[in-house]
Amino acid sequence: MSTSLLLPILLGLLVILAAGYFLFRDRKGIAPAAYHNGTLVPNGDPSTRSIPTRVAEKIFEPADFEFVRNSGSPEALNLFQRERRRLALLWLKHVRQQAGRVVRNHAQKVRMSKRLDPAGEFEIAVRYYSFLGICGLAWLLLHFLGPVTIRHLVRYAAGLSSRLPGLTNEATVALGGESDPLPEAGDRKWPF
Amino acid sequence: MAILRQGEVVTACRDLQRHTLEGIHGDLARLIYIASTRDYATGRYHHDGLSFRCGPDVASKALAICHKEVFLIVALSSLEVLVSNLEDYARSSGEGLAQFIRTWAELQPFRVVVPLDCDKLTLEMFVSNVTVALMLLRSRIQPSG
Repeated sequence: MSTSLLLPILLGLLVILAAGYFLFRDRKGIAPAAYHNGTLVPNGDPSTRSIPTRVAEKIFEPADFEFVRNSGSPEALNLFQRERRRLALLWLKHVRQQAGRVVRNHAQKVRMSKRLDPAGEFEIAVRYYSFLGICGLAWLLLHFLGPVTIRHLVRYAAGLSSRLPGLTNEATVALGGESDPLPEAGDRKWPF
Repeated sequence: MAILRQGEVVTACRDLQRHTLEGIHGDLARLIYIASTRDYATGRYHHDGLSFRCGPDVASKALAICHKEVFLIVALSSLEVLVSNLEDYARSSGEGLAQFIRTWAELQPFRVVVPLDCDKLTLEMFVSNVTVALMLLRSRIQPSG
C-alpha cells in the first residue's frame, strides 16, 4: 500500500479512536434514566434546573404519551405525536445553536491567543462534531420514531452539549484568558 | 419607576397568594385571572386591593412574578392535570363544555395568558399542550368522532 493512501487511513483511525474514547468517557459521566411508574424523576430539585431543561424533560418523557394513548382517541394521539415532534425539533435547534455559540466564542479567543493546547482543542472539536452528528441522527430518527423512543439518544446529545461550555472555559483559562460565565446549573447537567 | 425593594415585592407576592390566588380553584384558572389583570397596551398589571396595600409599582411587579410562576406550573404540568384543570375551568365558566371547547379551539384565547418575557420553547409547549388537551376533552364528549 502506498504511503499517500496509508496516511489518511491512519488519521481516520486516530480520529475514530479519539471520538470513541471521549464518547465512552462521557457515557460513564451521564446520570442514568430514572423513570418511576412512567413518570420522569429527575436528579435534583426541579426548581434549580433551567426552564429549557425542564421543557425538554416534558417533550421527551413518556408519561404524557401514555396518557394520550390510553385516552382511546386516535385523533388526539395523532395530534399529540405531531406536536411533540415539532417541539422536539425546536428544542434540537435550540441546543445546536447554544453549542454553536459556545464553540464560535471559543474559536474567536483561540485565534487571538499565542498559546495553544492542541490536545484540548482536539477534544473540543471531537466533542462538538460528535454532538452535531448525534443531533443529525436524532433529527432523522425523530421523523420516523418520535421523541419518546429516542429520548436516550437525546439525553446523550444533551450530555455532550452540556460539557462543551466547561471544556471551552478550561481551554480558555489554559490559554491565559478569562473564562466565560458557565450557563446556569440546570444547563450543565441533563437530568434524565 | 422607582427602585423596588425585593422584600416588599416578596411580601406582596405572599399577600396575593393568600388573599386572592388561594381562593381560585385550579392553576389554569389562576393563570387566566392573573393574566386578566394585565393591561394589553402597556404590559403593566393592576390590582386594586394589592395596590392599596403595597403601592401600584410593587403590586404590578408582584403580579408579574406570580404570573410567570403560575404560567410555568401550567406549561410544565402533565397533560392529565391540564385536561382536568381545563375541564374544571370550562364547567365553572357556565358555558356548555362543547361550546367552550369550540370557542377555545377557534379563538385560542389561551395565547393571551402568556407572560411578556416567556421563552419561545415554553410558549410553544404551553400552546401545544392546551391544543392537545382540548382535543382530548372533545374526544370525551364526542367519542365517535
